[in-house]
Amino acid sequence: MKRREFLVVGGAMAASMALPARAAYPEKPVRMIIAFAPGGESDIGARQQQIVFRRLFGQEMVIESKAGAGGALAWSTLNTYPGDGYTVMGTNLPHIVLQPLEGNVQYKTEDVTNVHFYQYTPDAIIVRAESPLKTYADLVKASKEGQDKVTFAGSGTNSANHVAHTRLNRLMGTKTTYVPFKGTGDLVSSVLGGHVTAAMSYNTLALTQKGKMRMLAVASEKRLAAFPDVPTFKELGGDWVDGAYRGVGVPKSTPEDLRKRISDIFSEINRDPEFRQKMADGGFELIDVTYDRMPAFMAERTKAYLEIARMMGLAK
Amino acid sequence: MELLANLQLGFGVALAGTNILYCFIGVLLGTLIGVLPGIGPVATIAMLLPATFVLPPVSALIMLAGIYYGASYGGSTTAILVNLPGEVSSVVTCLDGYQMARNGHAGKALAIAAIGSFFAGTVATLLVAAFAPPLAELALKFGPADYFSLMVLGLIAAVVLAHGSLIKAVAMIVLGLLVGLIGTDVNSGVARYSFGLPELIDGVGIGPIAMGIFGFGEIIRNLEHGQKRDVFVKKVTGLMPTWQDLKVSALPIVRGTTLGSALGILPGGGPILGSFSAYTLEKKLAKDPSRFGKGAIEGVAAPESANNAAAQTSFIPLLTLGIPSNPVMALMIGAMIIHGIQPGPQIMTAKPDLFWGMIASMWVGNLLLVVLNLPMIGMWVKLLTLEYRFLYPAILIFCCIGVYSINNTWMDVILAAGFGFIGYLFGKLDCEAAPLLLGFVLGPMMEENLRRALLLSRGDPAVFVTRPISATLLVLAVLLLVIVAAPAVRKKREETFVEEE
Amino acid sequence: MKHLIKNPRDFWSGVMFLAIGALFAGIAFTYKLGTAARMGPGFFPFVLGIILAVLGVAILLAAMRDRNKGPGVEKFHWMPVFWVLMPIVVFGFGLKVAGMIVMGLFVVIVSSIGSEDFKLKPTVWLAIGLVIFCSLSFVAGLKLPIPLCPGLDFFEQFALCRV
Repeated sequence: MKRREFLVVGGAMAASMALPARAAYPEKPVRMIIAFAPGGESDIGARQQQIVFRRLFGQEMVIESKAGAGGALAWSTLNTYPGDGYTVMGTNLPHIVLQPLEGNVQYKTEDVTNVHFYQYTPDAIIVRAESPLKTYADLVKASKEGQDKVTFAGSGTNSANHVAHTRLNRLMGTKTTYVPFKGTGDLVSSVLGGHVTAAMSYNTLALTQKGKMRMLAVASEKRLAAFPDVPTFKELGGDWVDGAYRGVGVPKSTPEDLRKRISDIFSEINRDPEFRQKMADGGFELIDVTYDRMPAFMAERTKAYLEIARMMGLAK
Repeated sequence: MELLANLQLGFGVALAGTNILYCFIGVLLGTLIGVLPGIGPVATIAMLLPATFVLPPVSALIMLAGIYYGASYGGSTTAILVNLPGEVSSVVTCLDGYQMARNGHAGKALAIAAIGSFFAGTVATLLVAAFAPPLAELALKFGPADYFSLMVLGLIAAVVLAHGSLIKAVAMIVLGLLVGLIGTDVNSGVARYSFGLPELIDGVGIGPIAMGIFGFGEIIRNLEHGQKRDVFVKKVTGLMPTWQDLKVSALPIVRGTTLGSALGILPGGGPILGSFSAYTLEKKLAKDPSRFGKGAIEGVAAPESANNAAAQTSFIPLLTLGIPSNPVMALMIGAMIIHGIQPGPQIMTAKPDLFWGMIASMWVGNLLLVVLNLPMIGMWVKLLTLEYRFLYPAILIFCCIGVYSINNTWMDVILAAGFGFIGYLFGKLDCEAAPLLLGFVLGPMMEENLRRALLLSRGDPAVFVTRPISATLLVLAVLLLVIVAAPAVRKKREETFVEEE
Repeated sequence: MKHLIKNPRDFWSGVMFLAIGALFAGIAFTYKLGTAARMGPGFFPFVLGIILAVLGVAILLAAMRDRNKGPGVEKFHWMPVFWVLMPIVVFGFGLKVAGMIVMGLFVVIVSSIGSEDFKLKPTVWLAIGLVIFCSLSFVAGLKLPIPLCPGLDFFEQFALCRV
């Protein structure tokens, strides 16, 4: 083990001494490990980047799926890869903050070195088209009357959806029930079939189910272009801008200038007009949290999640 | 007559020169990869997805769908030839298909699987074309309580799979249910029986279990007897089924198709339940049920038809509701989004050429499968005449790579080896593995839906009998239990009687 | 004791089910059980474990009755178990370190020793052929993320190893 650590450190030093070569990064295919199954939103986002990456930088970005334990399987191995910039990993918020709190996983939030967050899908409350609940006010009224009879389907326990539901209960002053499902795909039929009152999910669900489902409120900064009639929680009187953030992390041994370079690369992909259009069509809201702004961003996010986690009994 | 116009549009798209070529490439690749143990359709589609970026969306999706049918068909081929189920739903095919191969009837088994699949595919495609939206609405009526009752019915049906002791079959199901519970509990987030290993947080995969218990276990059994089994199968008779075989298989194929089509619509476990229950039904209807498990041709025809029918109808929730009913469908949704198509209910009206083109290509794909596979049967059967000392190391290396590539983790390889030992042990103790596998697949879904139903009813167990669907299924389950248990009870009585004389 | 067991196969399966059931139920006890209405994570496995143990006892007792007489348990052949499963385990642990080429040759050659009529020469040719086939079809063709060469910097310089 000692020897291995030594090798890693040694490798990092050797890499940082070879500065001139750095300007040419990337010189060979970059491996992007995605912590979720192919076909999921993280995978789709990465595959869209893959196309632009090849066009802009002339190298292949190879996507490798290492799904398991809600992403924890991949993240707990992040620092075992060489820090040469040719292995990067997709990272997700709030997962990397909440999972270590829960205690089942073998990594800490600090073990994941995020260099860039490039997109997020805002939290959203969604009901089926036939639902009598037309507006957020209807939902609040029904929840106050029905309390735990009102049910919200969400993906996973102690997950982003679970956090959002807790936050919603606090905002509405109610005690509605959270019903966990394995994934967003699993909960669709329960929502459409009317077996649950609503879904606590993301805007992307409303987009794929347009016509069959209705979004009541969304946790974005401004109203979404695809849903100009749906109010944000900010308008409804809540301080709630959140969702699932996707970004990229590197092994701890990656030198500073490479981290910056990777951050710049993903910023550049985010600026590509064709890419912007495709992502907007898919319901992904683009953001640009660059490496230099990372510490402040992570501190702010972590504080917000910890507050909710305390309410859920996850953290003290 | 709108249907005819739609189908015409669909076939126009599916038969267009390049599309039929991509369909063929997909089916061919799928078959070849499906034959290699362990490399399932999910891995294949994920790997080939980037290659489809350059294609027009319709062609890309047609090709991906072709890979899906091809791979599930290839999975049955290995089930019959070497007792390696390519996926869960072909576990049932192992039971009689492999025995047919041992008896020298591999060709017949493969041919009847192809014919049954084609018939099932044709019927199911028509069903999808004509009734997709109403069928999808029907599937939505199933709530958590109803799913739980459906699982109960499925588990009772699983008992019939065994041909030995009834009580041991029940114990094997319960054991399967328990193994299925390994991993994170959806309701509480607690990792159960994972012993702190991150690889076990998601539970044990079906791949390592099926490959270990069926594949590795069988190889050890073949090697142990110090036998001079130079050639795996002594004589190979009749590559093609006789007229008699076809007559015997005709009704099982129809019944399998019906069951498979119906169960395939339900998200989660459709094809598995379809093939298992089709086998159960045939065994119950047979004049001489003791033939099953020893190479009965109906035991291949029915589940293979059901399996394929369900594979087609599982497109219904995807195409009409945007609901992925299995990991392959989830990947198809991803492929659509990457190609700039928004999957979901609006796809039928927004992209009629894609919608009907895909449906028509399902039938074209099935036709291509038959055309491609019937001539290949001779080649597969020749493979069996290879000396076993060359055959089994080859199977082992493919299995190792295959099982590793499911999740790219070493843990699955080790688990498969462990289950290989368990499978060998089961053989020694006369414990049949098929019921265990069904329990394993259904266990987590059963617990999830049970607890979800109780969460929604706030702890009131009455939901299971007050909901009409659930109540009906439970009544059916009780009826089936009586039918299953009755002969065993009667037999016991007779035995006691004989003893007293 | 021995003469009491009329059906050894059933008897020992009963013992196996009892042991596994008890094990699962015992571990389930360490998770929250909850109540039937609000089940904790331990409830379902606990109940199933108990059921399995009870079934095990029933099978075991039935095997001690005269009218259930059955054949004895066949001899366990440890050699094929070893020669088939050991290379798989080594493959699992060694793939990341040694790469597919080395491990593939290992699996094919070593597992062949389990065969009655093992001959080294044809086996080696078979192993080489299979490894080439697997490298071409899985790694080069399907691009499965499987390391081909040992994970040492030295091999990095070969184009073949950088797939």
